[in-house]
Amino acid sequence: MSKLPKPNEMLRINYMPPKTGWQETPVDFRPGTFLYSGRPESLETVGLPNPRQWSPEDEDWKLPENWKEIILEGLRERLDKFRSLRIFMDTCVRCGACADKCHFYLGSGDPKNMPVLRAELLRSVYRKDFTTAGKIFGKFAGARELTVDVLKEWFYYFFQCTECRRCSVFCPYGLDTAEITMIARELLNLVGLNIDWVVTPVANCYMKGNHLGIQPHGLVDSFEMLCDDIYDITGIQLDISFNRKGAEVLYVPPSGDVFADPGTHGLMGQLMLLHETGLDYTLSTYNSEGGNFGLFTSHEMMKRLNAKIYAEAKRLGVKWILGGECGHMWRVIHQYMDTMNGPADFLEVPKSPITGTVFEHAKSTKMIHITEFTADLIKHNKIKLDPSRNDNYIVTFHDSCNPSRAMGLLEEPRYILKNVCNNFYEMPEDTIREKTFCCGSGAGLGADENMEMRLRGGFPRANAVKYVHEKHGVNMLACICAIDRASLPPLMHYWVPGVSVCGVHELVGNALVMKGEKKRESTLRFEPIGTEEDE
Amino acid sequence: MEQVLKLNNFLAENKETLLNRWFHLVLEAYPTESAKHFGNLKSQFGNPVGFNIYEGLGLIYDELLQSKVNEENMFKALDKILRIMAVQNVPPSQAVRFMFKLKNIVREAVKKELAAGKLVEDLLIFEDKIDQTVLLGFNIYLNCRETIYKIRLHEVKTRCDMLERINQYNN
Repeated sequence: MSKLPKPNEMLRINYMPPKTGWQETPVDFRPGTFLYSGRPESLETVGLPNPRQWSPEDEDWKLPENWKEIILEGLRERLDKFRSLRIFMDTCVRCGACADKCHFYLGSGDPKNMPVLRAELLRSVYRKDFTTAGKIFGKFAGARELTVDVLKEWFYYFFQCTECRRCSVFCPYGLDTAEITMIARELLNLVGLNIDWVVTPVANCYMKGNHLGIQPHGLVDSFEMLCDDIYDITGIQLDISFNRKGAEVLYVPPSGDVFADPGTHGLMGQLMLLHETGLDYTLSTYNSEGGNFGLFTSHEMMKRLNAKIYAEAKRLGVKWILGGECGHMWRVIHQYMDTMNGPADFLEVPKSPITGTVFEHAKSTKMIHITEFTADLIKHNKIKLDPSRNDNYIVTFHDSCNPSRAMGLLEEPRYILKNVCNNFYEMPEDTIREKTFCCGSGAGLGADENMEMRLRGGFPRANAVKYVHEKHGVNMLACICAIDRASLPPLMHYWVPGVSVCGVHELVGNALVMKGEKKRESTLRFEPIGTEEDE
Repeated sequence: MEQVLKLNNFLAENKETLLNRWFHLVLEAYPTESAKHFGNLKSQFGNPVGFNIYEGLGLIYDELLQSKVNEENMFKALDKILRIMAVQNVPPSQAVRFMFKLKNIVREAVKKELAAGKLVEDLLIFEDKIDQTVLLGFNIYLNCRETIYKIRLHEVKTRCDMLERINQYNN
């Protein structure tokens, strides 16, 4: 794994003081690098333990008296329940293949951001209490006692992992280090250690159906506002239905797109496309969230929130579900839904009524991604597109971690982009598709208080964008994840000024030639449009 | 003036050696394993920190060899490095320290000439340029930190606007 030092390196005298071993280096909670704690009211809403006011900067984290017992018992329970966890704890051979693959490590140089060492934070405790070698030989067997400092270290580093799974791609054993982070977060949650950027959206979603806490009438109003904008741009009035029983399809976009630019523009594009195709769909005001922050909390929470989508589909009597441009939603659907809440036997295998395509791969979950739907429409020549309307943009595509690595959605967004714009350039090979670099803000890390850490973690991605920006003049970074659309703009602002961010369907909306539309003068963000071919 | 050219010629001829020495000295600020990784320049995209630092150092090195330093070019070169350090928990005094390491390297490289009383004037002129660069570096570092706070402020403001709209709709 590690190379032998060269003679000149061995001769080099280091005047720096010796650095402490990783087990003895405590965490420094420096502002800008950690996340704020979960609001007690939000914990109470979903029944999470130990709701209280506390801050990671405090000396006393107000843990329950028997916190150690709770964590170790929690770990024991999970080791029995998830065979995968026991394998992940026992199997790693320290080959180092993952070490330099984490964007947080590449951006910071902090060794505890190496996936192998991040996992070791949990493994060392596992060894101490659950393996014979660790019980007998202690530190010599890589084991260590669970202390408050270890717990603080867990909090710092497991909320510094975006669960993007890039490291897993390179692991020869296929260890899913994101699942190690998930388990560690579950354990932290048992004693009330969680972050507000995850817990409050979870509570909102549980009570009101979406992360932002928009109530049903508010949601209807906000969609109407998007329709007003579409009318101003195209002269076409969209008629959107909510909670309509008997519709063929339930459409579930991420709620971030309803309120936050540039996600709103992408959502407008999707609504325009659905109108143009005449798809018989409805939205739900009770489950108005594609995202699932339960994934970043615990398996139980993920299951509870995911169940709402299917409960609504059942209540409304739809045939299948269409999901919006969301990221981690697809990891939940593709990898966990089927065994958590599935199979969704009451639904039908998704079939596009426009092209007749049956989406066999979604046979069990009955849910497909909007880019699969749109790519199929383009392939069958069912929509008219004028890519020159996007001529102001030189576009590249950021593969969002979850759609690419968790469901293999690599070709569809590219196929769409190549059909809706004339200028498209890929970023370098090692930074796209299944090897894509994370935005640095996924898995609940997209808050503002940890901005410095986000910019560190996002640097490898930004570095690749900068390359195509300088080489090809790329000025638009397209993606299919709501968290990306929220987190990439500040990342670009810092590292690559001059590059904007959009959803793939924003460009679809621009290029889409709608029946009866007026002459387009502006893009979906009300900027002058590129050239039109019929001019 | 002729003397200045002499030192510059020496620095230009030995660029690769001196630049590599400088690069590895700069990386010593990182933990040993990480310094090893950042020092491996095989992949521009797999090692963005090391690659950008190396590229920035090279540009700074070239600019220092010019008879008159072009501030715009120097700004861009320094920015490549300091923009990274500004998000890596490196205080400003440490961040600009890498420029002083070049002084040590050059002094060491021409120590025989210096002992013989040669190149002293050249060296003073060269080191003056380094000092100017350090001052410029402080501006860049501060500029980066200000950008981070502006971004954060913008995020907070956007969130407040959004919550206000949500409240309006919910009422």
